[in-house]
Amino acid sequence: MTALLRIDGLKVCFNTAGGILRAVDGVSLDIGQGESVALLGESGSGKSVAALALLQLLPQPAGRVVAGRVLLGERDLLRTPEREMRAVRGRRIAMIFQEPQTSLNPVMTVGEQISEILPVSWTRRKRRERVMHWLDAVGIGDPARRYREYPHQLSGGMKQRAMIALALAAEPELLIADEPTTALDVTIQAQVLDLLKDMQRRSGMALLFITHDLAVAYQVADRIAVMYAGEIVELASREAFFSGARHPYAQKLFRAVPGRGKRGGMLEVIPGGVPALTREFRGCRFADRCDRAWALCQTVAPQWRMESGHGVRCHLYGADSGRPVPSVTPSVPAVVRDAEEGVAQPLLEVRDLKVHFPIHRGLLRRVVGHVRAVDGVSLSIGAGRTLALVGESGCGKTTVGKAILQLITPTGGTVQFEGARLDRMSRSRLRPVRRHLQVIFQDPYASLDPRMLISEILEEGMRAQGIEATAAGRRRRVLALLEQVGLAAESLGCYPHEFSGGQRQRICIARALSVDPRLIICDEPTSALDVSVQAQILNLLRRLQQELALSYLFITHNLGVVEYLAHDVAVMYLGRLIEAGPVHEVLDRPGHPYTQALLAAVPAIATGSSAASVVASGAGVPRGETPSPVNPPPGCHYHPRCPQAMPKCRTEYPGTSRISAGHWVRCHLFAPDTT
Amino acid sequence: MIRYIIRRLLYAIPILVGVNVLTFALFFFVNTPNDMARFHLGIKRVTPQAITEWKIEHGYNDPLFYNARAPGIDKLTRTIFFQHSVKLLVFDFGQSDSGRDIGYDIRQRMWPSLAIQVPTFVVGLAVYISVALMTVFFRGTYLDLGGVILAVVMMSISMLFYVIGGQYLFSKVLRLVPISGYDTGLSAFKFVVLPVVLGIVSGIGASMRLYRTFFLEEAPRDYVRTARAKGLSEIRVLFRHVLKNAMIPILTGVVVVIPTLFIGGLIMESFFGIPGLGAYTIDAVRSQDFGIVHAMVYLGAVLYIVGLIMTDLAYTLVDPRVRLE
Amino acid sequence: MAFKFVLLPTDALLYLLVVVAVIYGMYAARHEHLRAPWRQVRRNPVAMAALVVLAAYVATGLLDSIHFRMRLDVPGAGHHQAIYAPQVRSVLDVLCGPLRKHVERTYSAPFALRSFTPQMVRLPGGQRVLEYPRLQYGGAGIRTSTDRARDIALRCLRATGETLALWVALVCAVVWWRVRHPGEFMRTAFVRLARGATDTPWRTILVTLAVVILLVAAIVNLGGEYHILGTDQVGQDVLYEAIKSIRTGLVIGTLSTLVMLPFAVAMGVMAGYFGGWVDDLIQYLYTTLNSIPSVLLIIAVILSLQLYMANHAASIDNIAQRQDIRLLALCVVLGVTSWTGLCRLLRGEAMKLRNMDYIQAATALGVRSRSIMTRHILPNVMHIVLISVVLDFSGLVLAEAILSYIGVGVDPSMNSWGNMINGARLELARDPVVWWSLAAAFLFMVTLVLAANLFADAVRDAFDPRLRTS
Repeated sequence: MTALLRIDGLKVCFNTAGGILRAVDGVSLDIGQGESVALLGESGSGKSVAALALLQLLPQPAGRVVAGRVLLGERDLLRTPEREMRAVRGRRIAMIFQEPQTSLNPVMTVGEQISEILPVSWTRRKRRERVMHWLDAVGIGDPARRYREYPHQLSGGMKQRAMIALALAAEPELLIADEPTTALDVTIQAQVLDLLKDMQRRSGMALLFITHDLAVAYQVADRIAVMYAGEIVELASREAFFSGARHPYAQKLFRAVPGRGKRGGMLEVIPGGVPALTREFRGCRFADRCDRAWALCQTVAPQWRMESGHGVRCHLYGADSGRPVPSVTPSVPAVVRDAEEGVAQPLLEVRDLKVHFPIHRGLLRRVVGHVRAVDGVSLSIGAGRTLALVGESGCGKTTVGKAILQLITPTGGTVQFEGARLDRMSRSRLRPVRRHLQVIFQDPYASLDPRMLISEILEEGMRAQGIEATAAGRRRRVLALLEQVGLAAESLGCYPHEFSGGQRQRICIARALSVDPRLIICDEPTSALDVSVQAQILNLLRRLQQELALSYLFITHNLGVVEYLAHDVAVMYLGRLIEAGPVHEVLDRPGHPYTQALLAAVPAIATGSSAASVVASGAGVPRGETPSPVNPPPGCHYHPRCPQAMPKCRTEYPGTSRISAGHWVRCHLFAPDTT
Repeated sequence: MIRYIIRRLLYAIPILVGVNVLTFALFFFVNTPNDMARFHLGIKRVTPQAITEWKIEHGYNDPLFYNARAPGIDKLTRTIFFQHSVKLLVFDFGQSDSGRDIGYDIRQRMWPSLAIQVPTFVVGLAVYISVALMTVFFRGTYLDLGGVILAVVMMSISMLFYVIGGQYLFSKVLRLVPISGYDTGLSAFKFVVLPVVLGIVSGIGASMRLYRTFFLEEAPRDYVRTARAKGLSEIRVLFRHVLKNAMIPILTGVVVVIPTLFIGGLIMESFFGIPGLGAYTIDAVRSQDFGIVHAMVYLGAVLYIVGLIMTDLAYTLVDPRVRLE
Repeated sequence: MAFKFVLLPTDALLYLLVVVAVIYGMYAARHEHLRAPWRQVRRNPVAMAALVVLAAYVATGLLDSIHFRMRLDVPGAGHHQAIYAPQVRSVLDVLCGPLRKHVERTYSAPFALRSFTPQMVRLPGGQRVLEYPRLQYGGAGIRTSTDRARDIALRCLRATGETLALWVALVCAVVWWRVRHPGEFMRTAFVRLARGATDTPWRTILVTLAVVILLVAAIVNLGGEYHILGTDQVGQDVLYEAIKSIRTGLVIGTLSTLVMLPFAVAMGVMAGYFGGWVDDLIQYLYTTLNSIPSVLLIIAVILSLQLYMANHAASIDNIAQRQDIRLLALCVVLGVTSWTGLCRLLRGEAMKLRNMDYIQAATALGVRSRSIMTRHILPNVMHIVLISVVLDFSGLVLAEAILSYIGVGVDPSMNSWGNMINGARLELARDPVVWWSLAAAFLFMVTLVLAANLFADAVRDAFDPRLRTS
């Protein structure tokens, strides 16, 4: 295979307030014609910076390339003047970005933006036709209309399709895709991945796919390059990598991903976080977090070793190490016992919960419609149990959590906590009850007041609830909390910005625990975190549940997390629950076509020798996207996307059908309960 | 669209009522008509009779809110509140304290005001945006740095100095244009050109800096990166992508002042002897004519609200995400 | 006592402001989230140079805010009935004694020996001649212009010498203070200072200080003998007027925002946090106020106030009081016209914060609304308040000049740059031109406003570079 693009010793630095940050520190990588390479790494590993540097698109004036060559054919892109770079960008190397929401210009039509990339010499008509062709090719229906529309009129998945059309319109030789599906829902992610693979196959272009998701990398790539702290630490073909990753970091990543296989045990964690790239490294950059590191790793940086196409940067494989390659035995995590199943009395009982946001219009702000964010949700959680509420973005799952906490006043339905009606309580009566129900949010950066010390944050709830009257008592308790969540006592005098995302999430957990809650509503607490850190938090939550007999309402879109942590599962679609039951029942034998589609859309890694068996993701992936909750489709909300829709589905919302004890579904495919 | 405008105008009513109540309180509560009469007649030699005569002459003789002596509906209409405040709502400005018809004066004097204000506004906006774009295009160079420093220095100088200095230099020393005065038709040009130029120059520092920050705010956005990744030239990125987006905040600040151009520029008109509404207001201040000031305050409020509505309409032109409804 | 202390309303507010600033300083020193941005300001050479200039202005303004009335030596008055002079003086007046007292008959140019306007003089023979009379004070002991040039040169030389002596002492003090830290040596400290390699830009600060000291020394050495910036129509020293105007500018620049500040902050935060009818009401209030163009609102209020004061003249006992009430009223009106912007900004920010996760978490912990507003929202919007106060300052100083020109500014008898410009403007028609009043007002204003703008920029960049303020 001839190399289309040859990256050789690329080094990129950023001038920051904290010093010079070596974001990319000597990356070399070849990309062959028509080949697809995945650049895999956690946030801060330098993968996006490397991609931007290829096109000289680094943020100016902070970022600069300090060394290396990037050869596209004979030409070194890093030494190509700006004027000539323009002919390369878009035309020979195109790029798509993570956030389709912000990557398109909001005040220009989609058509204008795509046609900008086409030769100016073409007639307007010719360009228009070509744009329509590409819009059609990426699966955007009614291209003539979409051509004239603005980005905000397109849904998230549509926007990313438009971005792909934009990137492909000039028929580049290489497409760089920077986390193109991270901001999308799983079902849309599956569609976009399919589209990218399809386009690549048809046009024969090369693909550099940047991702943090092992499974996504598995789906798209021929070769995988793992980046850690500015370096490539492993490079291998997909088969070789997924059947036997060599670098301890890569091995650990595999075991940190939650899933059903890991149920009942603790997840393997990588202690600590990605090191700050402003510091100087002497030895291996991973040594501090590696449980197989020895003295050599701390002092000498490992060399890059290539062996039959499988490269790795680790002393374990060095001839000079003098240490035999140990067999890859996963450290056996301690098996922990699950809470007793099936005996629990419901702690929280929600019946027919409704949250409708009125849409005001007109002179007197008449209510002309409602956003039916939550439209009749019933669920119950027993003491010491975890209920996972699963759904895609916009389905109303976060609103359910806030309505239970009475942070949003429900429009209808009841919320009972230990028999007491929360929805009927006045603000002052509710205040003392609040200590039993706590919450952990998704974004660890937004959930701590930046102007407060950690001690103040942790004491706030105790003061409000009158727990521990004395300052000394509060302090003792705060110290105990910190130890419980695994933070040092010195943290008390620090501000939130001094902590990493994972540490902040620990502080949030400690804050919730500070008032001795019975139930914690966890609203996507790990989705903003890297895989290795996610595992730490999930393990912590699990341990706390066992120690304190906590109940969790775990709101998430990540089915892997559900499989790892939940006892029961409820699937939500457009404001309503469509299926619920014990976790193994629902995930093993999903009844509702939507649940099936969700499961099918999750990119899976078929480990083992049968590497060829890429999970056929196309089959079950639902068409289209979630409709608006302002105007849900009549009948079953899911019918426009359902491959098995019947005439009845268009007119009538299905009732509850019981599949087995505790497992029910709302779908016309099942016989309704006669009760 | 029409419905939207009508609705917005209806929203304006409570605000205009509020403005009216406020000015009424200011002019007739803080100081009673008696105080006013005494003030105008000269504090020393006033007789109660003179006060009454003055009040009758200027229509301040009625009670404030309720006229018990008047018949029927006149109980409410023959009051100071109705005559001097409610009538403003239908643009009946009444008479000034010196007995002139304010409505007529306003119609006469708004044209000279517009002759100064419109060119200042239009040319000024074009100049400010181009200067700001230029510094952004050359950002990081000495040209940018020099421009920014110059802008800070220029915005630190009072407008009065620009006017005094400009008038001195161009009219007195160089004798390029007359010192002051006004004429109708094309011959107005020589009177108008200096105030316009000085008006633009005096605003250049602040506006250029503000617009520059608008442009710089757009510069690190994702869509700009997308545009660069497409291989577009820097000029095209700036003009096609950045400018269009930066127009949104620029318009917010700019459109709202368009209607208030009618009121004229106080400083320019008084310095250059232009018989516009600004000079009218200043004359009223100097002769302490409350009738005129009251009318101008109300007119200003109406025009401001019109400006707000125009801003909303302008949004729909530059931002496709905004729809009226 | 030889004098009676007089507390004018604006004095009281200025003292309060100083106290608030000191408390804020102490608070900021203990809170890292405030200390860090201020540290950034401290490292900015331009900001520190501006700060030195501002400090000189503020010191002058504060000296001019300690008012008293001198006791009069009236023969026959008993010990118990002390009689005090009707004029209110300030410490600055005393310090600028010669400047204040050397009043000529009318205009004279800077450093002039003779009056600017000719006067009919009767010679001993009964003949009348038009001549430029000698000034009473300006260059009183000087005969010819060559003598004058030598005298000025000598005085400048002395001023330079004094400056140098004081400055060297200052430099040594700074170096000594820096060397207190262990491990530093005098020599290296000097070298680092000279190279500008210190964390706080001491070199810039000291150079700016040198300029300030030199100017003060020049005024001290020359001011008693000459009218450095000439005299105005009634023979008053222009430099003295310009210096006295500093307080007016500072009062307007600071008090205008501060009088309405508590109001604006409370309204903005409440509107944003509570929403609903509270929000509607507050929005209505500020939209209504905002809809009146601010110049017109100021005109309306000041006119009305003028009338009120004319009718209640009896209750105001002296001219300083009258000037001060008018000044305070102007501050309040300017505050009323400018609080709406800040209120709207804070409302928007509070609305954003209300939905932040940490506020939601506090609600879920059962924290009361009042605590949430004071403990979470207020500290998180204070930087906006600070930025808006420093950014508004220069605009208000400039506004004073315009308003005084229109005739709705400070009392016409008060010292202010606006009144100086207003008075001088009419004299531009003379030939040769009387330019010095304008030049003095220009110099003093530009220096203050430029320094304030540069400092405000640094503060904004340090606290919230993204905050959009127009």
